[in-house]
Order: sequence, then C-alpha cells, then structure tokens
Amino acid sequence: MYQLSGGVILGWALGSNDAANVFGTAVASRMIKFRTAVILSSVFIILGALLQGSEGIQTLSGLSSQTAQSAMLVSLIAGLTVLLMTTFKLPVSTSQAVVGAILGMGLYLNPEAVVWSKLTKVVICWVGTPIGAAIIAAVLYPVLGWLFDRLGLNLINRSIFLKAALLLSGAYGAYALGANNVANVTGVFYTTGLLDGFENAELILVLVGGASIALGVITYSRNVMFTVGSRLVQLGAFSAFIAVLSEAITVHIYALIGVPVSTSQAIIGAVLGIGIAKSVKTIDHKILLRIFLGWITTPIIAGGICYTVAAIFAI
Amino acid sequence: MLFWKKEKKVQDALEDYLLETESCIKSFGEAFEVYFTQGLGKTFEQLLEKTHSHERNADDIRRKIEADMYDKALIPESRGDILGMLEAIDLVPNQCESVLYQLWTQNMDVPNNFTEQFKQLIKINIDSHGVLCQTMRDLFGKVKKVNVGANRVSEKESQSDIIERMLIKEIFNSDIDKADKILLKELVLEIGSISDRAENAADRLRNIAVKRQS
Repeated sequence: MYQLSGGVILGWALGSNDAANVFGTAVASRMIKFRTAVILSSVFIILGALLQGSEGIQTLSGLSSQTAQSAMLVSLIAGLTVLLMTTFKLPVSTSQAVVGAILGMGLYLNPEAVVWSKLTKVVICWVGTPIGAAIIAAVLYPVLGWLFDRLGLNLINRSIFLKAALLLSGAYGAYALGANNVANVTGVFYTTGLLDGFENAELILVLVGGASIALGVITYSRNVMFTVGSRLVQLGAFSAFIAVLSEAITVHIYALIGVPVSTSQAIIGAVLGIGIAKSVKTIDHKILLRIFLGWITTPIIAGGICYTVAAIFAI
Repeated sequence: MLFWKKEKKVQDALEDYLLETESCIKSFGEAFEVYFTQGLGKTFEQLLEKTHSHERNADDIRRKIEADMYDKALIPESRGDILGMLEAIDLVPNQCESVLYQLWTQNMDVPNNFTEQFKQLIKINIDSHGVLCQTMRDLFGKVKKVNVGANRVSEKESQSDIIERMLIKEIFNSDIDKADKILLKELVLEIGSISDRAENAADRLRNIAVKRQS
C-alpha cells in the first residue's frame, strides 16, 4: 500500500495548484474567505471524484500495463516533472505529465502493451480543452450577459448576485476538478493489482485521490490562489464568473468522456473566449504558443525521465 | 453568516450616511435663517457646531463603509464606484460647513437689501443636495431614475449660477465698501459651490448607473 504514497504526493501538488482556477477570483478579490473556499473546494473535489471520477481512471489505467512499483514511480516522476517545469517557468499540466510518465514507463516495461489508440483520444482532448473552453465562454458571455442585464439589479444586489454566482461556479469547478483529475492521482494504480484484496478497489482509489487533492488545497493553495485570482479579478466579476463556469463545464465534459485535462489550460481558453466575445485582446499569443509547446514538451520530458529512471534502476 | 449580510450592512450604512449629511444640510439652512434674523449670536454658534458634528459623523460612517468594503463586502468594481461616489458626495456637507465658518470667522455682514436673494441662493443649493440624496437612493433601488435625478441636480446648479451672477452684479452696483463687496462675492461663490459639488457627485452617480445598464 505504501506505493500509493506516490499518488498522494502528486494529488497534493495538484490540489495546491489547481484550486486557484476555481476559487482564486473570489478569494483574491476578498469576496469570500480563504477558509470558506478551502472547505467548499475540498468537499466538492471529493464529491466529484467519488461520483464521476471512475471514467478517467479507466482511461489512464488502460494506457499501458503497470506494476504497483512502477505506478508509484510514474506518480513521483510526474510530480517531479511538474515541479521542475514550474521552477523553470515552463508551461506544465499535471495531466500531460502523468500521461507522459505512464507512456515512458509503459514503453520500458512492455512497449507492445501501450494502447496508442487511447493516447490519440487523450491528445485530442488536450487540444480540445482550451478550444472548447474558449467556445463555451464566447457563447456564455453574451447570452448570460444579456440575461444578467435584463435583471436590472442595483449596485448591492448585483454584487450579491455575482458573489453567489462565483461561489456556485467555484463549487461546480471544484466538483469538475475532482471528477476529472482524480484519475491523474490514482488512476495509474488501478490495474496494478495493488488493491486486489479489496472489494471496492476503485472506490478506494477515487477516495484516496480526491482526499489527496483536497489535502493540497487545504495545506498549500493560498499563494497560488491569490496570484491566479488577482489576474482574473482584473477582468471584472462577471467575466471572472464566466471564465470559471466555462472552465468547469469544459473540465466536467472531459470527466464524462474520461480524459483528465488541464484546468489551467481550460481557464486560459475561457479567458480567450471572453476576449473574443468582448472584441478585446485578453490573452497574449505567446501564452497560446507556450500551451502548444507544453502539449509536446511535458509528456516528452516526463516520459523521458520515467524511461531513464526505470532503466537505471532496472524496475 | 449569510454571505449577503455584509452587502446589506454596507447598504444600511450608506442610508445612515445619507441621513447624516441631510441633517448636516438642515442645520446649515437653519444656521443661515438664524443669521438673517439674529446675526452671529449664540444660537448661530450652536447650529454651526451642530453642522460640524453631523459632518464629522458622516465622515466617520464613510470611513466605516470603506473598511467594511475591504472586509469582503461587494465585488471589487462596485467597491471603487461606491468609494468614489462617497468621496464626491462628501464634498457637499464639507462645503456647507466651510461656508458657515467663513461667515463666522470673518464676522460677515450681509446687507438687508441682499437678504432675499441670499435666501433664494441658499435654498436652491440646499435643494440640490436633497435631489442628490434621492438620486443616490435611486442608485440602490430604481436605477433607471438616476439619470432623471442627475438632470434635476444639474438644473438646480444652473439656477444657482443665474442667481449667483445676478447677486454679484447687484453687490458691485451697490454703494457698499469695496472690501465688503469682495467678501460678499466670495460668500456668494462659496454658497454656489455647494450645488457645483452636488452636480459633480450626481454625474458620478449617473456614470455608475450607465455602466450597469445595457
């Protein structure tokens, strides 16, 4: 069971980074307390993981065959890749690092067991994440904006309404994050036989995964939340709400499809979509180029490290 | 605690602020009435103190609203709007207090033949503040009425301008001492400045309302 610690560490890192994408705006603009955001995030992440997290687990566990030992290494190296790339300020996504590490390990252990057709589905979903979020945001912004204007709310009620909207979209975003990203944390362990003695192996994995993400939110998400949130706040409360809602819908759709994707890339896509709807430039082309490069570099780096480490230690 | 409780607290504090500024302007009007009938005596001084006290209370409430807003009440863009609005409105009671101190510290003597026009000027400037307060209440209620209210404040300001010009002309056509003429002219301009400030504040309210309408 100690092998699961690799997943727990990865989940912790994921939670400390990604909660910012769902509650950053509300916290950084001091609309809700950090403590409230942490409680809501944790509860909804675990709920999302429990209720709709299994699809992604099936996908990631089906990418290649793993042992409990190799799965632990995959998780640790994916986490290390995220840490390394973040340190060098390179674009990174946990989902892409995990998939890269799984493939690297899979290629070392048994190249014939790597299911390339599943990888195609995963890569299409990665590309579709920012694009999908941009389309959803570009549609939601004018439609909900029109409805919102029709309400004719005064200054105070407008504030209350938007605050509630940010809270609800944040909770939904946390649910989608749990449902989608729990597979990154413990999905790789599903077919390793680690939990063979347990009747509800999948339930245990989603619970451990969800709880690890929640642990990251609780213990280490404050700084990222304020940094990411401050950037989104500049858009205005209504746009920030649309960005979070679009990101949540996108990530949730991919949770249903069963492919873990990047919440950060979804939120960048959503902000881009709002810019299109408002006819203003919200995202620099350089950021889009960095995302594109991230799709290629992250899995290659994670996979390369994983393959090399596995070869050195002859796993 | 319900998450809209802080917003409601700010809204209640804004109403308290308005009531305090209205009391300040009322004392200002009463002080002038006393001045025209009894001069700068004890009663005037009491009303001057009352005006000052209401102005200070309004300032205290404004500071409390500012603190509440940075304590997780309202969305960020509304915070800026409300702070700007309060700063603009606050200049009106400040000016009323300043006019009374001008009268008192300079021992001013308004000749009887100008009294009626001064009363008219004061009334129109007090009215401009009354309309301003109603316009601010509309901003938190019937937003669409804000534009109408802001236009009414502008009308009051224009009427005040006309009275100011006529009064200054009459002052300089009279045979009082030149130094007194200048002092009276200053007083007229300072009183007229009340509606100027009310108009600026009303413009702000109009902008805030327009920003929130499609």
